[in-house]
Amino acid sequence: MSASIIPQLVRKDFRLMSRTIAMFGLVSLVCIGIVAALYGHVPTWMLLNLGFLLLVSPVGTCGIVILMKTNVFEKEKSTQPFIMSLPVTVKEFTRAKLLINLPLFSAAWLVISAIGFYFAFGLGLFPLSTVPFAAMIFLGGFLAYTIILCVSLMFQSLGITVLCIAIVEMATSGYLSTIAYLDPIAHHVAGPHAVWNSAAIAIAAAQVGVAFFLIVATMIIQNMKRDFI
Amino acid sequence: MEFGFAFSQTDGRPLYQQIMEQIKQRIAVGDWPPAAPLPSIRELATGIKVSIITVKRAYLELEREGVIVTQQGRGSRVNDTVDLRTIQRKELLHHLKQAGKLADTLGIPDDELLRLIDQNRD
Amino acid sequence: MHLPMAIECRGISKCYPHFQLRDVDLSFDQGTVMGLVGPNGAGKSTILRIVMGLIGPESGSVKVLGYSMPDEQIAAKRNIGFVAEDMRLYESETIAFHMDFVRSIFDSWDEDYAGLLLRRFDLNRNQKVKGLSHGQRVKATLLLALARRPSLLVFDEPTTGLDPAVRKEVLDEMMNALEDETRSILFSSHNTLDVEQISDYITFVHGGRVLDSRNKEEFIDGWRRLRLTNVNNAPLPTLPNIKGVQQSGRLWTVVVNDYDDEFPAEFTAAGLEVNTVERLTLEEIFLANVNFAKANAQPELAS
Repeated sequence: MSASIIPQLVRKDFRLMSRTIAMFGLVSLVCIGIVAALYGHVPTWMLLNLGFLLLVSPVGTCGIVILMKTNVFEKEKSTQPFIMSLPVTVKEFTRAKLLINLPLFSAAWLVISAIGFYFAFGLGLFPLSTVPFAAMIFLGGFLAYTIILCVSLMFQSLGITVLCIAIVEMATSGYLSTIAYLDPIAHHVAGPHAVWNSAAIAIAAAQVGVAFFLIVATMIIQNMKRDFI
Repeated sequence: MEFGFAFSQTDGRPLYQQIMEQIKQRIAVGDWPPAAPLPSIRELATGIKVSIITVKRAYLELEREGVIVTQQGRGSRVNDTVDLRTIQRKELLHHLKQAGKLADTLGIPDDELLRLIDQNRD
Repeated sequence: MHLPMAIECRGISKCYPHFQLRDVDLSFDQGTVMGLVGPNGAGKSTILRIVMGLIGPESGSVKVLGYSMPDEQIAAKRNIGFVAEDMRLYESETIAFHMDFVRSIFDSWDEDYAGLLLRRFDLNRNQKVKGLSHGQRVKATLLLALARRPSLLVFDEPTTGLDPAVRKEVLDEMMNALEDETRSILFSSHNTLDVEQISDYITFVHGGRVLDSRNKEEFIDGWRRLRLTNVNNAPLPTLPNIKGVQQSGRLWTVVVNDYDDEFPAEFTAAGLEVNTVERLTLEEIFLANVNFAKANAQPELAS
């Protein structure tokens, strides 16, 4: 009958975020440039730590800032009644929010993952046996983001979202330490080849699966909500 | 559309009566001559920014008093047999009736009422 | 041709920890103006949000322009313009940004009328929302709702906090919308002068219930204030429609509703002198209702 207004909502949020995205994009490029410049001039372990930090921080921060602005601030700054008075359901509203956040972040995260992998393995800094481990790290980061995104969308609360970020950060560190020492993977980190044994595949699949499940659960829960303000 | 009506919400008199009076004034001075069409209820209401139901009531009362004539589907117009004196006479009778009622509740007898009326004519 | 009612709410209920909306009925035809009056916290805003589908009632049915809410909310909201006191626009953006956004959603956007409203409201389309005064912000939000020419306008406290000049601009524009006979307005206000001026129907809300809902002229017409002298200290006749009594020595003031011309006689028969019979403004009726409800500690008020 009448077309859904999801495209207009996504476009609106994109226009609102354009300055933020541009700024972080610029910072990202600068960081990538720094990593490229440092290559070969600093010890490997330093490049690893600095590189990881410089690549992940701008994209991670940008992802968090955007989800805060599009999900949490919509409620806290009282623009939500304006949007919900338009011909839209909560389901479509949720979808629009997911569409502005997920694809952008996923693309950016894929890009820096690719860059990270290139520096680490393409240039031969690290043995291929550490590829599964590296994959876990980057998938873990993606999962962490997805958790925070879904919580921010379901609760639209500044307090709860910040708490979630804190918990996820701590959990991620713990997670990284765990898989580093998790036997089936650690056993092969020291070896010469990338070994994608069942444990590694299972963990990777679980990460993707959980992320997917969280998104679907968020949409279902949002759909059941009857009060939007 | 501007109609130049002035009304006061702190006047004490109901809005519909104020509207009636302003219409009668226009008829009395000849700005709205006999047989002239009145603006539609909606036109007048949106013009003077008063609820439609109030304007409707004013028109109904004016029709009851014979000041205007309403035809189904054709709107209202000033009654062509109306004239200044008739309207004003009707106004006077209305006011006298009210004075009479008030005098009754205050317990003022007829002769005192007449005396008061006389006193207050200038 | 039978037009569906503008709004048809039956038996709406909603429970909050400190407030309950109970058994609310609210209906009116298209082409009319319904004013919701009542003290703060009476439930006016809650009712409006339920009508807009922003809050789901626990029981009852809601139909707006013939569409049942929330199932057909998209179709309904295509034809409704909503403005609320606690609604905000995107501060960092200009009025033009919001106009473009709304225009991209509604085919019914009237650019000429939008331009006219910009001039009438004295707004600069390139100004950022955060730089607007309260009155300008309300006018900008109103413009976004009006320029779409929706069939139904739902306004929550549209004139609250506005200076007299801006208030007049807002009321004028609301009435202008009614030039089209298919347009309807539902608005809430505790500014009784506004409601008295432009409403065709009034619904009085108090303590989460509807106390009365009827034609404005009848509503106001039914109330009177009688000033009496009680020389012999006779007891007042016990009449069900006495809604307020004040006494100062021998001078009594009685507020009644459902008034008819036989009334003063009841008092004279009881030995009291009737000095004057006065009409009440909507504000005075409002206060009488609230006082009566408080005094009886139950919001049951038959009219």
